[in-house]
Amino acid sequence: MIRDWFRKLNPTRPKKPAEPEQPVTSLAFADVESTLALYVKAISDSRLKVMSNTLARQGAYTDGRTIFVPPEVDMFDDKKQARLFYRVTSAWKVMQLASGTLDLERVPDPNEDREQFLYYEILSGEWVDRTLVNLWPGLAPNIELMRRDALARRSQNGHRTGNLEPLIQSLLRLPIDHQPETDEIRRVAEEFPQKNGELRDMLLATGDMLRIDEPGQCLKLAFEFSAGNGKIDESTLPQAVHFRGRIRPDLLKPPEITIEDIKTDDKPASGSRRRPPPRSEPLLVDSNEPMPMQRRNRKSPTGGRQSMQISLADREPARTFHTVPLTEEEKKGAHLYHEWDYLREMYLPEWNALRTRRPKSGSTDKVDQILRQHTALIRHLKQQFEALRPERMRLTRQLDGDELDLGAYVDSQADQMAGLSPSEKLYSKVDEKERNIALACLIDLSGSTGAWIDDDPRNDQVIEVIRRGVVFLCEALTVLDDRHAVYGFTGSTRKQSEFSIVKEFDESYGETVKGRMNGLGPGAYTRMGPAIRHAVHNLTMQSARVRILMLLSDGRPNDFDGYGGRYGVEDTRKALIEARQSGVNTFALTIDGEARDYMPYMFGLGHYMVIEDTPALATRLSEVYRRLTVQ
Amino acid sequence: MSIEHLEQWSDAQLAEVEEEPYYLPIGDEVTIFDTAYREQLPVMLKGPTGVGKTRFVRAMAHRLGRPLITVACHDDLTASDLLGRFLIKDNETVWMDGPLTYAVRTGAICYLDEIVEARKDTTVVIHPLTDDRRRLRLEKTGEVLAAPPEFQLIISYNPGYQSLMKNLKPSTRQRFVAIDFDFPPPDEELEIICHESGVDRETAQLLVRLGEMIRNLSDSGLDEPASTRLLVYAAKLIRSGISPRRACELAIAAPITDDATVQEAVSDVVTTIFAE
Repeated sequence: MIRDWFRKLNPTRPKKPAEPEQPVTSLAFADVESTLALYVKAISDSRLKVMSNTLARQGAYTDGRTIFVPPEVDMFDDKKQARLFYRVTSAWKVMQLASGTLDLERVPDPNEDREQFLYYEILSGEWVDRTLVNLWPGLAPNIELMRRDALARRSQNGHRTGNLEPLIQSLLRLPIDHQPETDEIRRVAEEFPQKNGELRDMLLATGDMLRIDEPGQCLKLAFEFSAGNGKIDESTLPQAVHFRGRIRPDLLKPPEITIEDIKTDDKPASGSRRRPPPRSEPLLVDSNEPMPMQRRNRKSPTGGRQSMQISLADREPARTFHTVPLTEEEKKGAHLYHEWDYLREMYLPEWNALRTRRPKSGSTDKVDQILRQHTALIRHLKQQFEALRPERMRLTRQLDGDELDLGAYVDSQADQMAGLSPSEKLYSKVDEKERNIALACLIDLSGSTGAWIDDDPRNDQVIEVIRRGVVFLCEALTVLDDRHAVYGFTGSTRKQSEFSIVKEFDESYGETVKGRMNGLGPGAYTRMGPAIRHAVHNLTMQSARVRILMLLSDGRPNDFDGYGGRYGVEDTRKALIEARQSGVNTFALTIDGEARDYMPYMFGLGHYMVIEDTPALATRLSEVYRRLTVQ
Repeated sequence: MSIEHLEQWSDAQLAEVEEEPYYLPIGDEVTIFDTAYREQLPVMLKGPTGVGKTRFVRAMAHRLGRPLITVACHDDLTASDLLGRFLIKDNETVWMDGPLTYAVRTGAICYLDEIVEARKDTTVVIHPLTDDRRRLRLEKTGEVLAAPPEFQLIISYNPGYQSLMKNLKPSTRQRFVAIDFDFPPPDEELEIICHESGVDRETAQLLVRLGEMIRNLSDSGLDEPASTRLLVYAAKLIRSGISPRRACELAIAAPITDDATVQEAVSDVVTTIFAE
């Protein structure tokens, strides 16, 4: 069947590399990003993402989670071809991973045996070509085209020397639509007279390897080739076959440094490309018993979290740092909020100094990328939000209204004739519902949001998911008239609560706001009480029928100066009770797997949601808002 | 009688399921249905569109040898549409049973398809039928009908469909035995496509793979991913000589979304699987 398709292939020569005087057509990744992101998601079983990276100019590569492709493709004089190149190279990388050729035990270590690694890259590449053609036959003509194109470019460059180049070129000459026959292999080898004999043997061995469904043989053969052919002259190292890109074993390794390691060791391995985000340590310590920020390993059976189950019966001894009021210096320029001390069952007046700031608005590249990668999803969310728009609905069978309901009238006539008492509800009227909602979205920007999902640096950081969620929500809200503000909070100690205004109610969602969203990053601690009180204060200044506070969090209330454990939970709970008393509805979304220990107590059942799958937080935020505000 | 009803019920159809419908059981749904029928428990079929809920109902009706009354619910469906109403005929009034009433009277299987589409006050009329009383009260005629043991109520419900505005009330859903329907596993889906369309196994295999890939996009702006029904449609088009790519465009890519980006990505996936 595949053969038939090949016969239909247009036998035109591949496009030649653009001559200098010809106008070069370039296609940027950004132009194909939204489609390509969906494409890769679909064919990789949602396992892979695609991004551009300047390092991929020499060929696409992957770290097992993300496929990195070049920021632009300019080697074709036709945008369609360039688009195809993006698609083929991404699909190829997906197949390379899915077929197991990048399994770590298979890929030779280039530091140990460089020759073996180079042979493996060539041989497994050839093997992946064929596997891909078998499993995804639609791409077969494209792979064939890319192989011819690669070959044309390589022979044009005149490289036929070295150990590897003749092997690459002769393999590319082999047919892809069927297993190469011995005759075909001999003929190809003869095109390289100076190496005919040894090349023929290598090609024959490769032909045998290609017949096997499993990539294990690639490594064996790479070992044989490297042992039989000796050192490779570094000056004759061939370029990557353009659509196959490179293997980067250094990136494929599971991360060696985890955040826990840094904590005990404090010295990240030098030369490591991946460092965990810096954690700001509080400068002022007025407690002799600081509560360390929690680091998680979500994979460990306990979730890696320190267990701090609140027993509502236990009573901690009062701590000395609960007794000193703020100094005038500390109060200066700050909003002052009280705090609930559950031990003494009293409010501590003017206890927290909260300072608002508008984060600097800078580049919007991260936000723009989110918008490009998720165009379809955002459009979908907007459509869903449009359904929330107050609609004019004609209510039938009403006691009074502006029109007679004919159906109701006929029914009532029939009922009357049948001797039943007819209904009096004979009118219809238009019902207009008004939303009039104000929303404050309060984001926990504590240090732990800098953690990578599942503590694997190849994944996104939690803050990235939060950023995505906020962008989705603001995008979706553009179709409604709901007033909304986005705030972030962090801080260390009650003297320095920080409240970032990302978007104020009266600000429009534009470049400035996007720039601020772009700059959101992990801070220090999670003192929820004052932040909630301030957000509620702002909310109550809004004239709205419904006021909603949505909190996005990744952990329990926690601060450096004893605001942890039950104390923090109690104050946060009190702040939320105050919020509800002043007419603000509260809801929390959290990714803390242990949130069930304290969330029901703070927010109440049904007023919070624990999201086990962290990346899902991004879309859940909009979903929850939609659900909360459906009329 | 039944012909007359057929003419009167604009939203319902009555049929004796004579020919055995093809249904490939995926799990224990047949056993569960049998048990529910024996125990006179109403059944709720949950799942996305196009995975075989309606086919399952038809197969079960045939198995039990009962007539099947299917009502396609919509947001204008009133209680009278289900129960019946007085009609004016030649200067006198005639009571006309609705499909649900007729099913109760005759001991048929009544299938309310996409129940969430019906108005909330409409769904309440089924409540007395779904508890151990199994009675239907017709206020207008003053009749109380006791459902015979042969009567069975089935509703279908698509949890992912539309918004939460159209969710089923807990008081309604908690009256049913719920059978979950999802996309069939690859091997079963392959069988279904082959049987329904008569396409060769190689093509069916590619269609199954295509379906799996498109379903990965269900949380990226796709309302309802490619259902088994759509895969069967595509297979039928291929079987009748339309090129696989074109068939998939027509039967899968275009129907599942209006979004240009998603449609383009779906088309790319199609061209990955099927050659020209």
